[in-house]
Amino acid sequence: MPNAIALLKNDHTTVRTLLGQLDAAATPRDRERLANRIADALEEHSAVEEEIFYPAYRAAAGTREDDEIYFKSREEHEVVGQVVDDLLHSDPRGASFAGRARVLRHLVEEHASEEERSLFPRAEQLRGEQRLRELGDEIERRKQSAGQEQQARPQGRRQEPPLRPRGEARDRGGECARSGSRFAIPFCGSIICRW
Amino acid sequence: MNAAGLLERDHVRIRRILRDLDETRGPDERARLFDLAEDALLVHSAIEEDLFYPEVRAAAASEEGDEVYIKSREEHKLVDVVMPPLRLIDVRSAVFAAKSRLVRQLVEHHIGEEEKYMLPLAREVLSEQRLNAIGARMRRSADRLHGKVILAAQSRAFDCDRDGCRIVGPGFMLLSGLGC
Repeated sequence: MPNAIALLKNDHTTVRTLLGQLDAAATPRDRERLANRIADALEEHSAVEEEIFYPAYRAAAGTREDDEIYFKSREEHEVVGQVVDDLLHSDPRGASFAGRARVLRHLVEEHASEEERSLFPRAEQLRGEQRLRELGDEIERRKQSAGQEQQARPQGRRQEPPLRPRGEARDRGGECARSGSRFAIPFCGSIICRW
Repeated sequence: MNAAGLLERDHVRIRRILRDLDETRGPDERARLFDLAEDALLVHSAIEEDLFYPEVRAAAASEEGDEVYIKSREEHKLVDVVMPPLRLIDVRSAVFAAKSRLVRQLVEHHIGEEEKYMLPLAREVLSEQRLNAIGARMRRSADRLHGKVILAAQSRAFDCDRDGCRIVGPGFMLLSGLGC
């Protein structure tokens, strides 16, 4: 049975490699292909962490510091998810794509190293070898069933239109774009910006 | 006031506020620092995105300029994701501590990159005179915005559980007083 932490570290290595390849990719086609692979890998990895590994860590967590590590990791997934969405909706020939790819690489690097530095060692302390192997087993089963599902409906996710405009909406100008908000609503002489 | 110099001075202040926010444990002090951080970040990113970045990008007119521009704006957006919900989270909670630490890290990274790439580029492609003119405009704009960015946080719908809060409804920010 594999240890959960070894599996998660493996995921980190895979994504790091893909992000390195993305940075060096020469053609828009390669960039698009790599961005899709990265999105899939990150989605699968975040899902097993959030649904299996983090809850097990949190259940054993005792200190305030443990809680903070837990919340920070979850929040980082959120931020990474946002950049991935933006990346998938950018033209791989454009400068936006390149900039977003760079930002994503940095974020993932930071998140993965921090996890390897603080959350994983702490999880090892809190959960013994036996429990980590059980969790590893659970992670593998979950990945297998997710893989089968994905084969059943290929490319399903990316055919869907974006839920809400991101990024580009901020280029509309006006007070709201200036202050970092996404939409402007004029309201009796004032401007209300919506996040 | 030179625009690049003005931003560097702002960076020092923002770094200090976010460091203190991260390291302070007292709830009252945290709340006070959060107000300062929110105001400082909103005003700083507003004047950068509106008055500084486009000038540097246009003057550079290069691939490097485009990339630096886009990367900086993307980094601002990350802070926009993490920062707003903090206003409604209990300053004593672990969620608040975790999110404010993340804001600090994101901003420190962004500032570091900006000082390494964007500011040297600006000094290279814009004349001293032009930098001074932009700086003066940024300063006027900042003076106008500071303290006036009121967050109508109560109008936001949040879904809170033991893991913290997530925005589920629209959030609004009011700029300048209501004219009615």
